[in-house]
Amino acid sequence: MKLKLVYFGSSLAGKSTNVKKLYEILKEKNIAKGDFVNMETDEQRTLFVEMFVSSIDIDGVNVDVKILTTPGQFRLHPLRKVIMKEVDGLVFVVDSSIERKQVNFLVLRETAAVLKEQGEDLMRFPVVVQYNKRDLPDAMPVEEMQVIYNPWDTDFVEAVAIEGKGVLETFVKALKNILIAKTWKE
Amino acid sequence: MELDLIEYEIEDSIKNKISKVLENLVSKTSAHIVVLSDDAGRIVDIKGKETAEDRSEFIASLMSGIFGAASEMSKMLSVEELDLLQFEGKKVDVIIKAIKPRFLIGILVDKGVALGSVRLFLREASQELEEIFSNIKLVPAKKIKVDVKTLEEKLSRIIGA
Ligand SMILES: Nc1nc2c(ncn2[C@@H]2O[C@H](COP(=O)(O)OP(=O)(O)OP(=O)(O)O)[C@@H](O)[C@H]2O)c(=O)[nH]1
Ligand SMILES: [Mg+2]
Repeated sequence: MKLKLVYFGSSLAGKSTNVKKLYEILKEKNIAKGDFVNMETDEQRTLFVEMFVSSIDIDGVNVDVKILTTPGQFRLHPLRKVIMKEVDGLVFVVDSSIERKQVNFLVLRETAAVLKEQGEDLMRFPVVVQYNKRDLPDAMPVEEMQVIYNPWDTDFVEAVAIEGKGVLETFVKALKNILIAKTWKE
Repeated sequence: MELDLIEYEIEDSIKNKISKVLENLVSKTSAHIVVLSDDAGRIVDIKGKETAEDRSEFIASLMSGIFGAASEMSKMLSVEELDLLQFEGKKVDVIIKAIKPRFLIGILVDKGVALGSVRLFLREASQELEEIFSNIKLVPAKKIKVDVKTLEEKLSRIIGA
C-alpha cells in the first residue's frame, strides 16, 4: 500500500526541520528507504519539495509512506498545488510564535483552497496539527491556538522540532489518522 | 471494531499489457528508463536499467512534479494544455508525456538517440496505453485489519515512538 503524507504550514514554521529529523529517526530504526531528496534555495528555504519514503510492515502488509513538504513561501504557491495532488493525509505545522499568528492562518485558508480545486475538502481530511517551536519565549498558549488552528478538532502535538521533540509522535498520529480515514472511505 | 482497509490496484492481465508496451518502448529506443506513473507520481510500472525501488519512487515523484509545475505555468500563461515536456542534459535527454486520463510516461535516453524517433515511438506507446486505460478494471488489493483503538499503540510499537 502506498500513502502520501504532506507537511504544510507557513514559511519557516519548521516543516523541513520536522521531515529531516523524522528521516534521521526512521533511518536509525531502519524503516526509511533510500535517500532524502531535497530541493532548496541557498538560504535553506524549500524551493519545491523534500521527500523520503518510509517502509513499514503493519500486520504483514507493507505500507510505503512517501513523506513530502511543501514550500511555505507564498510566492511558491503554484508548486504547492503540484505537491498536494492525491495526498492521503496532512500535518499542519504551526509556528507558535505570536508574530506568525496571522500567517499561519493564511496558509490554512490557502491550503483549503488548493484542495478544493482538486475536489477535496480540507475539513474532512486526516490531519494532525503540530504546534512547533514551543521553546520560543513568545509562544502562544496552546488553548488559544487550538481555537484558531484546529478546526478539525483532531490530534495535536506540541513540538520542538529542532530538538526532535514531538516529531515521531506527530508522524505516528498522522499515519494512524490516514489509516482510519481510508478505512471509513471504503 | 475490526475494519478492513482496502486499496484498489490494477488487474494482473492489464498490468501485463502495460508491461509489454513499456518493454517494447525500451527496446525500440534503448532508453535507460521508462516510467509510467499517475499525475501524483505513483508508479504504475517502470522498465529499464534504473529500477531500484526507492530511487524510482523519487524519479516518478520528480517527473510528476516537473510536469505538474510546467502545466501550472502553461495555464498561467494561457498556453494550450501541456502534452509533452522535453529537456536536454549533457549526456541524456528526458521526455515526459501525458497519457489520458491522468497518467504520465517519462523516458530517459542517451544523447545520440534521435529524439524525433523517440517521440514517435512514445506517441505510439501512449496511444496503446490510453487504449488500455480507457477500459481499465480495478481489483481490491491487500487488506489490513484496522482496530481503531489499538492502531496508534500498534504503530507506536512498530515505529518505536
Ligand atoms: N526555536 C525553534 N526554531 C525552530 C524549531 N524548528 C525549526 N526551527 C527553526 O526555524 C527555521 C525554519 O525551519 P524550516 O524547517 O526550514 O522551515 P520550513 O517550514 O521548512 O520553511 P520553508 O521551507 O520556507 O517553507 C530554521 O532556522 C529552524 O532551525 C523549533 O522547534 N524551535
Ligand atoms: Mg522548508
